Amino acid sequence: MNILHTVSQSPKSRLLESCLNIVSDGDAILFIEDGVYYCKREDLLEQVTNTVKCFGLKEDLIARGLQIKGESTVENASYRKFVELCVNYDKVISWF
Amino acid sequence: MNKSHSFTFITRSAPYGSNRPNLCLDTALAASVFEQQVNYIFMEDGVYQLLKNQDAGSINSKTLGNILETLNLYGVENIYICADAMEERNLSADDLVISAKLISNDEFKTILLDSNTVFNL
Amino acid sequence: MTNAPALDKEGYLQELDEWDEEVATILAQKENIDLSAAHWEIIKLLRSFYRRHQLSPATRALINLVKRELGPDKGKSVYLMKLFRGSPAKTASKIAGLPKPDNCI
Repeated sequence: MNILHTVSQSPKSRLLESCLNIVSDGDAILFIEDGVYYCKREDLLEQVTNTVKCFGLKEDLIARGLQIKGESTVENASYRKFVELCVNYDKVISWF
Repeated sequence: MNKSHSFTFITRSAPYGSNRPNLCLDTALAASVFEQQVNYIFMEDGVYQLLKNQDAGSINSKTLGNILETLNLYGVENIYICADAMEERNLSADDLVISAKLISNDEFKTILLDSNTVFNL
Repeated sequence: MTNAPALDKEGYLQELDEWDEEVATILAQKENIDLSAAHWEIIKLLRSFYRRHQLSPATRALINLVKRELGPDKGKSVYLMKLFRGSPAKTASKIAGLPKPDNCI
């Protein structure tokens, strides 16, 4: 049983920190809307263990002029991937 | 929806600053009216909703603590409080209007995995 | 008989302090209810609940409250509807001189 967590506010919200309290190994985190600003904060992303996959929604990144660098721990996710993630995880919990 | 559907509501905001706590509560009450199994979890600033001696008449609002005190009468039986949230805020059980079970983050995760639907407000 | 108490447009007391047993009787008459001991028992329970929680219980909470305080035979919607027709939570709160209950889902 694994959970997809979506995070939709900028780092100021400390939503990632909230979310990490109850993230388990094998869960995934998808940054959407203003949550994509987390994708540029490697210092904050360090808190996420490597057993938890991180994604950033590509359209929201593009809209805000952000790009994920090759060496980043965050992967780009298209809307199609977003849907796939929702289906492949047992549950989706939104952090907003 | 059958009886076995379980909902977990996570309330993370302090009272009166926004209507999030009230929305979360209203949704939970609606679920309980339909006799669904309801878990209600106070996390982070959400624990401030449970402080004793609230009197929101002073800001022309309804006192949320009074309503939460009667949550069991509304059929919401499984009420939990995040132990970390209490500790971070230097709160103890004596400070709260109800005595609910304090849970660790691991217990929290188990509740989420056992729920069919999670509302996180 | 005292002067009729001031009511809001739904028939709830405007000044909760004006309530006494005589006012309750007048309010009940407006609902075509003759107050019996069974009614008073519920009214007193509601008023003590309100003193403690500043809250008029909605239907479901009222039923559970009555069940807890007066037993399962009375903590049933059928029993309460016989006493307070319409919506028992609204009618009983009105006669008990309390504000209209919220969350009457």
